[in-house]
Amino acid sequence: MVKNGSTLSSRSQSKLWIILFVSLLLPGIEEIHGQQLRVESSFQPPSITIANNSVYKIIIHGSQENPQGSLPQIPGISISNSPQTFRSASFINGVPSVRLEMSFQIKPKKIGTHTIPPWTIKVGSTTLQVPGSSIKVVAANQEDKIKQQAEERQKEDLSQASFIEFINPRKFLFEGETVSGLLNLFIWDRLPVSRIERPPQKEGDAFSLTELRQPQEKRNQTKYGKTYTVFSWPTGLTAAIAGQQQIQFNTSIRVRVKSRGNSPFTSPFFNDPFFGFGREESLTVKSDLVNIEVRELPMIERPDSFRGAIGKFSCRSIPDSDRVSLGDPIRLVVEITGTGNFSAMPAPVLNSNSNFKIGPPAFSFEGNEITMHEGKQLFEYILTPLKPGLISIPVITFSYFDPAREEYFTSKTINHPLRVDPGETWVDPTPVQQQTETSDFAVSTTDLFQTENEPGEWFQNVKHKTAINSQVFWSLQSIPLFCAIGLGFYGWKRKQSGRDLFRQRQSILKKQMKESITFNDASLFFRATRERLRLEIGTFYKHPNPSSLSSNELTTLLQSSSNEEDTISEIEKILEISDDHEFAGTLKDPQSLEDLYKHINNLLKKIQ
Amino acid sequence: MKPRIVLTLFAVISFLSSLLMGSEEDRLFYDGVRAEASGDLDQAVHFYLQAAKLSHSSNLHGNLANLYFKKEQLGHAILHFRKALLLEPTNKELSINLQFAYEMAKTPPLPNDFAHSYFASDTFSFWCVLCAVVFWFGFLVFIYLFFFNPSRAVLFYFTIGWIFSGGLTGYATHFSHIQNSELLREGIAILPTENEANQTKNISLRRFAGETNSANTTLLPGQSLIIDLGKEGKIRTHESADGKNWFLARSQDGKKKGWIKEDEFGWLIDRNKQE
Repeated sequence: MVKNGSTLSSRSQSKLWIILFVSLLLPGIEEIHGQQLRVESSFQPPSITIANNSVYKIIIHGSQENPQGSLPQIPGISISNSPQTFRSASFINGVPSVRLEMSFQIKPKKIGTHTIPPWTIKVGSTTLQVPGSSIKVVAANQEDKIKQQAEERQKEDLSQASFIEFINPRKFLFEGETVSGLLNLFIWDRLPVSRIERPPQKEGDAFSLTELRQPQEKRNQTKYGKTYTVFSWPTGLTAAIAGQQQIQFNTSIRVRVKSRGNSPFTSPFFNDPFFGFGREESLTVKSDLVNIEVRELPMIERPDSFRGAIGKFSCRSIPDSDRVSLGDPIRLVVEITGTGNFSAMPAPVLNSNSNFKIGPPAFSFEGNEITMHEGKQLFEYILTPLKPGLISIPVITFSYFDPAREEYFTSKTINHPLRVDPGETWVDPTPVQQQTETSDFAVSTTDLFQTENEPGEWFQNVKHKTAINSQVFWSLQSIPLFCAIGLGFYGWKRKQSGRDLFRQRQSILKKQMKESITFNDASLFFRATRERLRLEIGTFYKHPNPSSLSSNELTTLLQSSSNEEDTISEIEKILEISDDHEFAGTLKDPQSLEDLYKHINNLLKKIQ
Repeated sequence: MKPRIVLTLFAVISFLSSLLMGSEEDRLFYDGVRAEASGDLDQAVHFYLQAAKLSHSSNLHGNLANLYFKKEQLGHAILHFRKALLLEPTNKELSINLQFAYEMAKTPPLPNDFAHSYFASDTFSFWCVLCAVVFWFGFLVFIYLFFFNPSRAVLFYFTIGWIFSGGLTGYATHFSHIQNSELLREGIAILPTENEANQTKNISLRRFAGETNSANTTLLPGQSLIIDLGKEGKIRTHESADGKNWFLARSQDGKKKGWIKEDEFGWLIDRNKQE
């Protein structure tokens, strides 16, 4: 610090040390009273090769105060903005002196002589002029070239120590197309990497990239004769701007390097970064610049419904109900499945109409959410029917561009009929039991208004023949008719035959009675009389077997009806005579027999 | 020998081709199904109507009704649901569809009271047969009792019972016969095709048979109407100057009456096939 070359007495030396001490203790004393302010400038060294650096030094004598001013910029050299400063104080010939040195790093850009012209600085309230100075830059010599080649080799080694590789499956992309790519970060196993600071980032605005998440790690991968650990990020790359585009990726890794400062231990072991004794530095890793052609989508045969979907898709719509009440919303899910630019896919257009009020859709994606390239995109619309009846849910037309076939395709959803009931506004939810009981009678609405694919049985007329128009019916009537006729005829015949028999027997008996009168045969007469009474009374009262009736039974039959007592007693008397005559053999004259015959005839006519 | 072989071959080929190709109404039906599946509803209706000119089936009229319903021609839909139900009265799906069509058309459904359900036109044959059975059975028993049973009391009481049951079945037969004869004269009010989409329009029953006459009353599409009979027992009809046929009709409940044009209603049972 002391730059005093003169000889001083011991007393003077002690004084000097006191002054120096005081000047160090009092940093506010920056300017020695009486010393003149002046400035020097120079390049050290003033002549360099283009591969080397120099220093532009400014020395301010008489002050240690920081100057103010602006250093002029020279085209052929670059001057650093952060100078190193150095303050010093000394006694020169017993006179105290202070100064401030400022050193700027100079890096030459081109060969030639470069001059910094005089410029001004302000120290405190005094303005000083810095004198101009020149530096001569000459061409690189052989030593510089060897050094440069060594640096390049080192750089190449460094670039192979860690690098990014981007695998793009396609040579060209269409504007808006998404492809599934892979980013591989190779880290040489001998590189002491402590961590990856961030996932790779793209450089360039012509593409958009999906979010990179946790990488997959593969060890012992060989490339360039080295063994690497590879970290892979699957990604979806979407081309945004048409034209010949470039894309590059970079990332930073943390690497342990040897400490710059000397270790207190001289052993190289303690300077080995592999054993954690070095310090960490950030290292930027880059990929090669990748050229990708991005083509514009063809305008020819572009459908009106095309909204930017690029890939290969299929489309369908799924309503959550086929029967609702008026005013109740239904949920319509439009499902687009396939591979393509799901991240850039807009919702299909579905506008409100006279049948439905339709709200904006909700988006959701199912599939590979990292690349958003393959899976199922769901658009959920809420449709509110505006009128009752059987109405159709609108058909959705979805168009996409297939980059493989370089053609547009259009897919349509099927027509879903929706039955909208007009009226019920409120249903009591409490009687759950009742609902379950009545549900047996409910008919599935999916069966309503369905088309039958088979004609079924054909008929010549809508209305079937009635029975009275059927010949079979009338033909069948003949069966009971004939039965009735037959039965009636039989009954009549039967009845007729019974009556004839009665008359026949009656006439026989009458004839016997007359003959007995003629031959005066009383026994025959009374026998015939008794038989005749049995026949006629028994037949009259519909007795099944009149000939078996006794006299008492005949009397009983007569008494059961409303016959006169005289008539009954008379018949009883005749029956008694007949019995007496048959068993006692009493004689009667013919005159009396004839009278009796007439009397019997009269009596039988009186029977009721 | 040779003509016989030719004729036999011709007969065999005709039979086989008829088996393979099916009937004309089948072909038209399947054409209709295909057209409907492809979304061409008008063409499907055309094919079904062509098939209906040849023959009828419940599925044919059911499909037609469904198509008309989709086209919001509710009068036509109800007409064909009714036709389908005449062919297959037990088809529950058709009944429910018909009820829903009535509901959509805001048209009162068919009366479903005791008289109209137990003595409906389709029960006429049943009542006829039952009446015949009661008559003949009773008659045979009566003859038996008359000739073979000596008890007059049994004959008397049986005769009373027979007359009573015969009277009941005879009344049921008569009532269902009335329903049946009304069915033959029943039509369904429909709007002409070009106007039917307009739900607010009704069908006029006019005071006199003429286009310019004022409406006596109106019917909703899908409402049933019965064509009146004249004194001779024939349908009351009138041909106007423009060559159109007019019919004197009244509503099912008999409250509305007036003249209606032939294209404003559809016969439930085709007139030419009635004759």
